[in-house]
Amino acid sequence: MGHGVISAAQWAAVHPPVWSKALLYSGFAVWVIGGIALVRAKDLSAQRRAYWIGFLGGGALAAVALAFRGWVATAGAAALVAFTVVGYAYFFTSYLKVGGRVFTLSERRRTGTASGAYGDLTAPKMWWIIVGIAAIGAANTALGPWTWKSTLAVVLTAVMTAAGGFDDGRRRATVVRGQYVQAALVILASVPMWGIPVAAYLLAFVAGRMRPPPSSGRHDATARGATGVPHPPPDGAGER
Amino acid sequence: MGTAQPPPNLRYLSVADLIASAGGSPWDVNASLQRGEPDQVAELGQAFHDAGLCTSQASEDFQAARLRFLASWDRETGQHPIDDSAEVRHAAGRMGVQLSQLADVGTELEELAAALAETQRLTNPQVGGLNAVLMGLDASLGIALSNRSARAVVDRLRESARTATRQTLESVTALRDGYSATLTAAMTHMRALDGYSPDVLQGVDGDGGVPEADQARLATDRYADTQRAADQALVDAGGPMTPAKQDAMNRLRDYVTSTNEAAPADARRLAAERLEDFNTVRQGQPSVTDPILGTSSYDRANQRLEWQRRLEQGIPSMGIADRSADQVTALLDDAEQQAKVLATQRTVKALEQQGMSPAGAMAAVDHLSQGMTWEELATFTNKASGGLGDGLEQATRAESFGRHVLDASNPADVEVLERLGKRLGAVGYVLDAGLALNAIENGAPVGETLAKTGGGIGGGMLGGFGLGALGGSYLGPGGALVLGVVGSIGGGIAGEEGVEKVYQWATG
Repeated sequence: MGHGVISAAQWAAVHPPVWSKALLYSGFAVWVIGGIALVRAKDLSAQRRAYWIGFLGGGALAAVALAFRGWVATAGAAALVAFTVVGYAYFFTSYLKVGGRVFTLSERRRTGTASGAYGDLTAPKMWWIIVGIAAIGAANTALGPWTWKSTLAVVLTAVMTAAGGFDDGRRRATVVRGQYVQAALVILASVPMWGIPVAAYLLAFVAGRMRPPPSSGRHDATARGATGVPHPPPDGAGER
Repeated sequence: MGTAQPPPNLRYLSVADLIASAGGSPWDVNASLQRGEPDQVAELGQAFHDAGLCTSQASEDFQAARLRFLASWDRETGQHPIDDSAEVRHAAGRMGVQLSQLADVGTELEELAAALAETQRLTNPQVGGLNAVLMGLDASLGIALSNRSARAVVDRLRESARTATRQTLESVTALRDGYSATLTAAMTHMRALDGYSPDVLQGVDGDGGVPEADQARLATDRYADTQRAADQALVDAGGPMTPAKQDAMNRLRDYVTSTNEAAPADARRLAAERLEDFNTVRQGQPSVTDPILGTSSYDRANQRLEWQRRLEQGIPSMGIADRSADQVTALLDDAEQQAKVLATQRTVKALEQQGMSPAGAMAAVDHLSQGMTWEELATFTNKASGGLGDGLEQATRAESFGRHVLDASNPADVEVLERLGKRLGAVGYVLDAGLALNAIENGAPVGETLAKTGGGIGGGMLGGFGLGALGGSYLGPGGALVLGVVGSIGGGIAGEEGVEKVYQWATG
């Protein structure tokens, strides 16, 4: 039942030690303080400090709070927080900076312009995202009964491949922009999904070919990447 | 309730063919509007107005709305009367609506009644006109066929009928959509500004819902058809009292109450609500999702049944005494209404605190409450908060391609959206992780909880970013917003489920 009130009521029978509650809530408080600092921060460096110190610091306290349930709980909690915070930073911000180099999914944040093959994304990155979604779809369909959530996973995968296929076709680009490793993985993952994502890609690709190619202007940047070879400027050039 | 015009009896034209070629039925759209009962809404508005403290401006607004309503209303009294005075007492008492706000609610309701009456008055003649045109074309077609006229003549007559149907459908749908927007805005205003959730309007507000009384009857019938005999057999089987047998006895008691016309109306309604909760859980499938609270009807019914059991027994450790079944059901109804009010108010306030103009915040909530994007943001919990954040982030990123859509709105709001998108996404995902850690501390299984949460977060990020980027590439900021949120929520649900299956498979 997830995190609903009923579940909370059922779990209320368990009484964690007082020190654990104190640590957990301290961790949450640090998150709140970090969040407020993040909102108020004026420049990118201050935002970056608030983000990492606030969310990782609070996460560390919360992870230690679970020590009474064993080291697996503490390690797992730390891993979950790290995964969430690093993942979000990579996907949606410019906060992940290691050795002077900014790691981010977005071409606009990295270069200052949307120079990717698919707007804000390069072809390899877009197709690795599709591989991730397809893996979720495969797990949903191959490892248990087919439920509405499985259907949702298949639809999501098919929508992603179809959108990519239509874009490839309309821009007269090569099939899957030359990302054959990812494409092979998507094909493999599509087997338990009855091949629907692959069929969606092919149909959309053909449909895209039948449409006139996009004119220059808004899509200039994406058109430049149609060969699958983006034009990366020096790292961090677009950092804001 | 107005009288909707049904499709005409046609001999040579097929109504099914006309509906299929038009892409919908103008008769159905009109019928759902005509089922609305603006007189009941207006009477309730009058009751609120009379009970409230009015400023002269409020009185003028109310009278203007009243005149608009009276100008469009020429029908008989509706079939589903609302107990106006009881509803006003409920709002002023348990919902805590202030006297000055009662008058504002009255004006909102009166304006809603006027809008519904005006829409009904416009759509009915259009469908009537369509019926007349179709009957004329049908007669002409009959003559053409008996005269063995040229194929082109016959085809032209059929095509004219299809065109007329399509045009009428477009027209009545546009009117219905306009009214729906007014209805949603009024609901949001009443919840956000006045602290009143007008759930009592269900079925009389012309949005296609089933009236409360009909809903009660349907629930009772559904129980009788699917479960009553099994419950009776279980009770008659004898043996020791078990929880299942106690539940069956309670349902049979509720069935007797809800079908007893001599029983008080409130008792019948509350008994039927409990039966409907049971029917929904028994059906076992998530169906309609509440656009405000974000819970599926299945989860809602399940939680209500659980709380019903617990509160009927009382929770001595929390100082909560046991209550009667009806008291508990009424309490749950109140709590739900208040949750909607609080969710709306807090979301509007949160958007305003981020710097949005009050009108912009209200419009955003209006807009979002028609779909699925804001639902759990309102309760400040997990996925949709991340989802909305991702969507806004995508929308503002796509803005670099051209400011087509957002340019039209207040530039200050655009700036707020950009800031909000970045922050909300992080907060949503961190909250997700925090809820999981809190659950583990309170006894939830470690591995499964961590795996499911990680899957949900990862799937949400993949879906939100990927679909948002594709949407932004084609459709600009609006497409990025919608597809980013859809991708984030869909990816989150699918990711959680997929990783849970992997976990169960790996751990046997």
